[in-house]
Amino acid sequence: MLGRINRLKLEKKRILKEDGRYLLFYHSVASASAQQSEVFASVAAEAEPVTVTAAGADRGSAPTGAKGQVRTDV
Amino acid sequence: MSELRWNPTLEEWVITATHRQDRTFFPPPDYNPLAPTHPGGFPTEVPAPDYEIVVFENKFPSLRSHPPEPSVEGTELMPVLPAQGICEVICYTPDATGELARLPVEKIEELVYVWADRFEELSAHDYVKYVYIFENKGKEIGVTLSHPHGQIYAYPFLPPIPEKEVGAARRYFERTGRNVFADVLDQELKDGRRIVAENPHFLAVVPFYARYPYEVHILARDDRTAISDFDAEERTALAQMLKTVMEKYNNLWNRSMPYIMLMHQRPSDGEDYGYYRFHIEFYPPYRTPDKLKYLAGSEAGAGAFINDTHAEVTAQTLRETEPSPAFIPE
Repeated sequence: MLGRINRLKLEKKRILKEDGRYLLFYHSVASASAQQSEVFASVAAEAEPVTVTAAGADRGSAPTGAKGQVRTDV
Repeated sequence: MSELRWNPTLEEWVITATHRQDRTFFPPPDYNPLAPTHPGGFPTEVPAPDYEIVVFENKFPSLRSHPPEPSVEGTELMPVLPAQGICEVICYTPDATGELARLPVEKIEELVYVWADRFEELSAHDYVKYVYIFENKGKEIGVTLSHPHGQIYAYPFLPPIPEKEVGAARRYFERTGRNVFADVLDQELKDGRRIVAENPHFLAVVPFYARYPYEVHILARDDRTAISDFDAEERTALAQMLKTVMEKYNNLWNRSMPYIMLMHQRPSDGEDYGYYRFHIEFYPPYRTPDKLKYLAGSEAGAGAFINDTHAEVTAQTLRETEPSPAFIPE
């Protein structure tokens, strides 16, 4: 038995550091501490948070995404 | 400076990255660059007082999205290319004293989601041909920062070992019409002696052809070629299997086991790799509690591994080692 099957959902925010490198914060509402949630909320991201789930995995082993269509929403 | 130099005698790229000579080497705790930045404290890689999981571009990357021009000129025989790619660092936890094995399954499961997200996002870049997720753990492996973290290299080429593995799987499929990983899994299940742990979606074995004494492979039971293919139930099962294997390692000799953990997935070139299958490999460097397995003449120079143990014996030892969290590293 696998026990708990967690329909997990993470949120992701992206910032650019002073030297131009990106940094991604991943946040789980279900497991974050109050301080971690507060910190995540205060992160001034380039754009709205993106939700990360297992949705889409049902397509099986299809070739990975179209080249050149790099997501710009993160 | 970094660049790709072609070795025509092995038909493989070598990455030079001379700037990595200056990377941070076991800093004192107050100067841990992977910790959160506390008010008034040392500014780390993460400009926030806390975090859950963070991913950022490596400060000392071997590959860059906007690489510098090569420092030397290549020739037709030995061409040189800019080292274009991406190197990321993943911090699993803000706790510098932790390790992946000691995180709750729920946190490891979140990490699985992050790995899947990174695979998809990095694979979408035109210049990325292979996304390689791995963790080096322990000073025996050459780790320079003890804070629990892993890395991701998004290569502009298919690296030699995945290329060889994918090629072997393709030829096996062409010859038999079957998936070589599925057949290996079936034989390991039928034999049973090399099984370390199993759940409905994954099988952990010391493979028949193990090169390291305590090498463990986590094999997917179903046809999945990348971590992002797994549904929610499979991701939970993968997190549970990872924790089981890592706890067994730590409990084997009652100490935190160093290892290289790596994922082999389909190349990111948009082609169909239905004949291939996702798996995770662990290479612990020890062959006994106090003896390291060195890559010496035969392994380093000829690529022929000599394993001083039988997989059937080490698998039994690991199988009988409880995956309990009883052991707490100092």
